[in-house]
Amino acid sequence: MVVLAIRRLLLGFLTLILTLLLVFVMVRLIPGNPAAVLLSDDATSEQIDYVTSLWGLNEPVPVQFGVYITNLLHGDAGDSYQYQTTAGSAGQDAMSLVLSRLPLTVELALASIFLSIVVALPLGLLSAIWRDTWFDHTTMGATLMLGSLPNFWIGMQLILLFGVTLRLLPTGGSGTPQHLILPAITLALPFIAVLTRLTRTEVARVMQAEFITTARAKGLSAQTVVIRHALRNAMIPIATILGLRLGGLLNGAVVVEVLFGWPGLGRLLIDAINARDYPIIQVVVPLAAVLYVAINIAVDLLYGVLDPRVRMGRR
Amino acid sequence: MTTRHLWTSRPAPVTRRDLLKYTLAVPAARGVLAGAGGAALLAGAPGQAAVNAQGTNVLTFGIVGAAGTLDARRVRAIPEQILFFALYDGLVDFDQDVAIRPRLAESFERVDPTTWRFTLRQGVKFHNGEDFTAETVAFTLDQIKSLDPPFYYVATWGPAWPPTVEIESPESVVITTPNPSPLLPNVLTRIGMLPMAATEPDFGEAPIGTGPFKFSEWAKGDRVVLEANPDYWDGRPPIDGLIQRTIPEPAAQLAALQSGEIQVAYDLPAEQLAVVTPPALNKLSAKSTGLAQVLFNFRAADSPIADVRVRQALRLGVDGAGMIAALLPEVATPSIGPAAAACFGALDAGGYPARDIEAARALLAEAGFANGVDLTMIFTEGEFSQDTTIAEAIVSQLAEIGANVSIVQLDSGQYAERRRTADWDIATNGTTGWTGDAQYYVNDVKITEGYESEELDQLILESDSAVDVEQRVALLQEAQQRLWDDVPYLWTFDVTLVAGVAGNVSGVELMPTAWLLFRQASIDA
Repeated sequence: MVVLAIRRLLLGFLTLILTLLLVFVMVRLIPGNPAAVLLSDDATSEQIDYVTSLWGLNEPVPVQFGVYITNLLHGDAGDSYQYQTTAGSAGQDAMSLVLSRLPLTVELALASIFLSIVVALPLGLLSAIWRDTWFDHTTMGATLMLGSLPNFWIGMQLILLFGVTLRLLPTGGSGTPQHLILPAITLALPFIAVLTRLTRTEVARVMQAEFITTARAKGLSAQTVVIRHALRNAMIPIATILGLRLGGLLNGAVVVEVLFGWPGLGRLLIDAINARDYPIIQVVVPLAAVLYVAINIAVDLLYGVLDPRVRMGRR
Repeated sequence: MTTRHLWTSRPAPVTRRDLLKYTLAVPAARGVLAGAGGAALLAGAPGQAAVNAQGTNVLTFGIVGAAGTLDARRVRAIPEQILFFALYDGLVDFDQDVAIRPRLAESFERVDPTTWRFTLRQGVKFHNGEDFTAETVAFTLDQIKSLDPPFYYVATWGPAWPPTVEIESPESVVITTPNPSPLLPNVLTRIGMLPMAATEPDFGEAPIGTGPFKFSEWAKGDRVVLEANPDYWDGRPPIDGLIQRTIPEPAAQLAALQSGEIQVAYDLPAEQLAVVTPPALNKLSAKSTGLAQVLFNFRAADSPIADVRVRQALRLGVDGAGMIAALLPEVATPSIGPAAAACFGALDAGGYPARDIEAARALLAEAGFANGVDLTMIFTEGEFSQDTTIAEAIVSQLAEIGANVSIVQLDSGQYAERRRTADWDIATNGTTGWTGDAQYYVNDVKITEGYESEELDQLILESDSAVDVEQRVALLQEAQQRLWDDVPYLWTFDVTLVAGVAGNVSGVELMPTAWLLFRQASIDA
């Protein structure tokens, strides 16, 4: 177990370094000089060249990377190009700006995962138990629909229904628990579709196994058989997909964040890419990679908990 | 399944009818609930309380972009400009007719072509208690001149840059410009007076001005919160606070306006203007000093665009009136000349001609393109209202005269860079014309299109030197006529700005220069 964890951590660290390098090089390959983008249309080419050299962008890329890593080791990830808050002095520090948006992204991600689990697992489980009944068919039909409807459209309908017509919930923004509800639902719905179907499939598969018949024959109650035996076994693929989903959500859910004006990492990243704000991009993407790796490590460790065969060293 | 378990039963297929029900369910529910909800609202049902966290006397306005800086020396984009006018005052600003009106300067006069005297208002204080004095004016302009990287608007200041300030007395300053500059007051509208505290390294994080609102809070990329300045020299604003909320999706902005979460929506989706009706909502509109332009590129000497006949042909190939009628009913009016009609001194050159395919083809043939001409249009979304549809419409209209325009769609970063090169023939562009004077556009073609004309430069020099206003306007109009005859743009339209405002809000001013002023805004209960 410990060896497993250490190996995973080392791999994670390597991923971080590679991601940093990759992002650093790739943003510089995107056409569009940040100085040209951020200075006004009026700016002369002399002014643009001046700002370009001020930001060190005219140096060869390896030199720039060297400077960047050196500063990073001192805890300085650079200042945002977009947020030149005070003339003549440093602008907004990229690392602190990104970290200030992280909690909101985490909040939205956790809320939507929670919603997904709470809705999809029971629905999927019941669909598997009542296989081929009206319940099963209704659920599968509904999830198929949900998965096909565009996220954006669903979100807009929710805004219009709950925000404008009924005035029950805010149409966007953040700050109170009510602000979280519609974005979390919009974000959760397509995943609920997927997770419900997966749960149903996995549980149905497990229910076919002989040990289930044995358990039932032994006299265990339906509830015990279903929860302790069937669901537990189905959890491994479910845990995998939940981990992948959470990792993806921590990148920021751009469509939902733009629609609801939710100030998370997704919007920050998109705005930064449009503005060619390299320092912000260089923090957000490696951060997302680190979180993704961390979650996958956690899921791997979770297998150990769920599946005794892993714990014992057999695969 | 051969054995039956207690928890399974017979199968029941899902029919197509069931699926259809789901697609219609939500809009149907909305319809039903709209009726119910509407009835509930009329009956005075609550629901508002759950949505509005702020007190009722705070005005929130929604805007698509976000402020990148609140420092008066660096203000550039519209979200920043709006907050600029809330936090700071300049010596002068514009009124609704784009005439200069005094603010921190009580009066001003042009002493000679390169010299202006400003008589200063006494007793004005900054938000931190500092006094506004003659020294403030000198200090502020020094700050602007010593910016590193340099001040963004040097090109627009043109002959007025760099200004020199001389303090005559505590009540008056004299500003001298290196070349004759009739537009010094115009460019001073965007110079906010700075306190000595502006030299602090963190000034931009908590800016201080003399304006009607004081800084309170800034969540970058999301919102800026200001509170009323009770000691404002022009009278305390009627509202207690002002919040700028970034709402990136215009449809969501409209929804927020309808639900009461914001009281002003700056970016309304053009297709949904019909929803904004009294008494719940009102529209603010202003004939902007800005133009939506389809530009020609004059930088490539060997491009077909360099031939005036080609430009004339292309201009004749476009159905401007038709596009305005079909796509932009409330937000555009036909241009009269190279400058927006709302600008001072704008020339009425008769506007764009009606579409004439025969004449266009004839001109192209005369220029040697009887078999067609290939052109490149670069495009990025968001330059002006309906720009995507207009660009596509223009391409298909020009195809009918034998001009094959290929659209290259770029993201805003690539577009900004490519626009400065010779590597395009046609491009879309939105301007604000913020100096409020027709000269803005004579200058603008040089910057955006690389247009060069010594004759024009000479005319502008003479008009700048003219002391008599009528003489200046006559020369300026002559310059505009020359420009117009040389077909500088493929097509333009005069922009009408439209903002949405809640029915119980009054006093919000939407300026032709695209700013929103909230000094006199009030919310009626």
